[in-house]
Amino acid sequence: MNNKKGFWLIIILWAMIIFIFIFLNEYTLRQGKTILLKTEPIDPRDLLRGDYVFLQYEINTIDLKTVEVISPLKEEDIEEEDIIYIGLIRDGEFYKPLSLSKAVPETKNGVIYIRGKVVWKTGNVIDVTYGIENYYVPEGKGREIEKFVGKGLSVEVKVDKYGFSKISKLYLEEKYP
Amino acid sequence: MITGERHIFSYLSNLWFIWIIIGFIAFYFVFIRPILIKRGRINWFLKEVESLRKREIISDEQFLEICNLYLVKKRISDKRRTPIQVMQIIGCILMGVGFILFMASNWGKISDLIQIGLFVFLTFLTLSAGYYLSKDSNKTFISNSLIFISTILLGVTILLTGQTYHISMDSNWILSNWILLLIWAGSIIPVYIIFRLNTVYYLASLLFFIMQFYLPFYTHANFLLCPFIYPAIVFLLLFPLSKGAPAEKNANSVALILSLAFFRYTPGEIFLALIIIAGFLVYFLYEKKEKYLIFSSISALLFSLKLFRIGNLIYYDGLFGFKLEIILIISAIVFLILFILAYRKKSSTSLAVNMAGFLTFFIAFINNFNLILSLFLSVFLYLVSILHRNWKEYFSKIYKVYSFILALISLYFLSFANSMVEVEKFEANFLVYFYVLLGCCLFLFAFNLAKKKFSKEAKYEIPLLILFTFTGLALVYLFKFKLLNVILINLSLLSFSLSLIFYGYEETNLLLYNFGVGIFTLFIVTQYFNYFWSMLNRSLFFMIGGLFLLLCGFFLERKRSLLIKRKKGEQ
Repeated sequence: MNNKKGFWLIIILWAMIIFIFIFLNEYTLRQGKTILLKTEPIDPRDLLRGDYVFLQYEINTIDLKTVEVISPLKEEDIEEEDIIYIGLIRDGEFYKPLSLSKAVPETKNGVIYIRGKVVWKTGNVIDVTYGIENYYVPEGKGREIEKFVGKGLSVEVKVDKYGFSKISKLYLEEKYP
Repeated sequence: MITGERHIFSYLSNLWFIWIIIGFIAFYFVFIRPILIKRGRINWFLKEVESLRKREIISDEQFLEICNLYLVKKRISDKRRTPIQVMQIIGCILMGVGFILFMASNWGKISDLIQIGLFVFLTFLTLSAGYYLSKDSNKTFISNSLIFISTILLGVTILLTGQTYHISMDSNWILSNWILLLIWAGSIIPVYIIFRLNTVYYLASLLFFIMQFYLPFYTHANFLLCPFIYPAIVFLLLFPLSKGAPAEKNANSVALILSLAFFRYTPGEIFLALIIIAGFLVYFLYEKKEKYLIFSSISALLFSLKLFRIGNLIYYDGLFGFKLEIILIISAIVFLILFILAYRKKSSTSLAVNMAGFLTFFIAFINNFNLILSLFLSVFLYLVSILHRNWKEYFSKIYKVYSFILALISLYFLSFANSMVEVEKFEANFLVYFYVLLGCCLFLFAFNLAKKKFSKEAKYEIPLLILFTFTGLALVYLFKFKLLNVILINLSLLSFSLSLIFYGYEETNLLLYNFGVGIFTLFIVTQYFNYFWSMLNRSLFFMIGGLFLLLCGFFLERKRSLLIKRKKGEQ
């Protein structure tokens, strides 16, 4: 392959990678439905990408007794590493878990399904991650948000029809509209 | 097979800093030293060529031709950079500084997509500039630099995009740090293929190496995939790409070994090690280079150290349906293959490393660091070393060194009276291993004797051998006569150190002499504390001990001076 063809191949490859990367994220942000989740911040640091706030949501820990496990899935069938869909329903300002299934059901009665992964199971309680646990902030800003530990924050999340979610905004509680 | 007891080797594998030191040493020998040597030689050579040019023995063209031959980009001293070039460089720097200042002061005000767009633009601009400048053979340096910078900017763009969209760094999610690094490293590989820039290759290698630390290693579900990603990348992508560039392969080999040393307590760890060992072996058989065999042996040693720490085997027992016996058989096969290859290639380095790995394996196999068995093992290794006497010098020495070290460790720890445990207290298998080892020793002794393998050194070594064997036998069969055992062990240790001193003196070998003195001092001090601490008045204890050591030191120093004089005389 000569250098000219190779050069253009690299340009196309790089452009495609960046485009797909941005498209996948923008799709969820633009097409997704908006939900508001209650969370609490913890402030570690990502060596690769600078300051970020680690967010611990109420929906990260789910008691299987309090949600409806949609058939044919049974409570005991849920294992660590499983991909699950949590049905969320609005309760006041925030969304709370209502049901749990292994396939994404159709959205109805205002229930929004968010995709998660079971990371831990102890008895009836499961720990689930959704990929929205990190919020990157400008350098040094993490400390400011960390002051809200214990007070709680609210996060606006977009959830697309496939259940993928993305953080769109983070509200410090007092600033929430 | 397992006890909860921890022994010296379990601590050894817990000392993570040892790996760092090994890493640094390996890094120095693999990268720094060759570069320094090569650079030193080239600089000396270039000085010579330059002086030839100045004396007009060779022309400017010939000078440049020679430089090109050694891949050195050299300018004739009178062709310095023109003022225009200097202006261009200053202009580029000023533009860069201005751009950074602009970004720093306005970064918060710029929307996310524009921020990413700016970096995308900058990445492509740098790559294009590098490409167009590469057409001009005089601007190779600047074009290469620009292309390299573009590969870094691509990474910055990818990481910035990840940050902008708050992509989770939780490795449970597919789109996390490791995948960002994988995309980055994978995207710059074509740049290396097309422009053949070594810097890009090293950057990709580094990124792949860092990537594996972010891999979701700790989960059973990912076991089948994740641990093998990095070795697969190295063996199937980075190695074939670096054809003809040994330094690049060496760098990745060291990185692989380091990754093996750092990954612990993961389900796939044992299989990861086997994959790495097998990968190196395949390259050894394919390229017929000894270094791959050595890398394979080092991987096997690390594998052995991790796997055969006492207590660790319980963790692997039954993991993924593998019984402990199967793991031991696999390990034995690995070592067998490595030993056979070390012999076929006559690689003494590989043999030395294999021996360390095998001893760890042996200790795990006999269930504990049994001092009596290791004493017999040292006798066995000595006889093996005699077997190699006329075959290959280093092989014989390696076995002998291991034999000495094992004998020293066994005897030293046995010399503490309370370390002598009654044989009944050993595990049921003890006597089986003991008889097998004893049988092997007797057979080898008879064989060596029949083949007349013992040489002049044997006049010191044979009595020691008999003394050690007799001590070992007394420990097993006459364990009730404690005093006899104490005397025999101390006598063995004392004879060991004294024969080293005498042999070192006779052969004018300062190393052996000093080693013998070291063991002797250790022996005296330990035994003095061991037996006289409770018997003597404290002040008397230290005074007598100090005086004895001083006298010994005086005598040995006189002998050492004589030895040095003799050595000088011989030279």
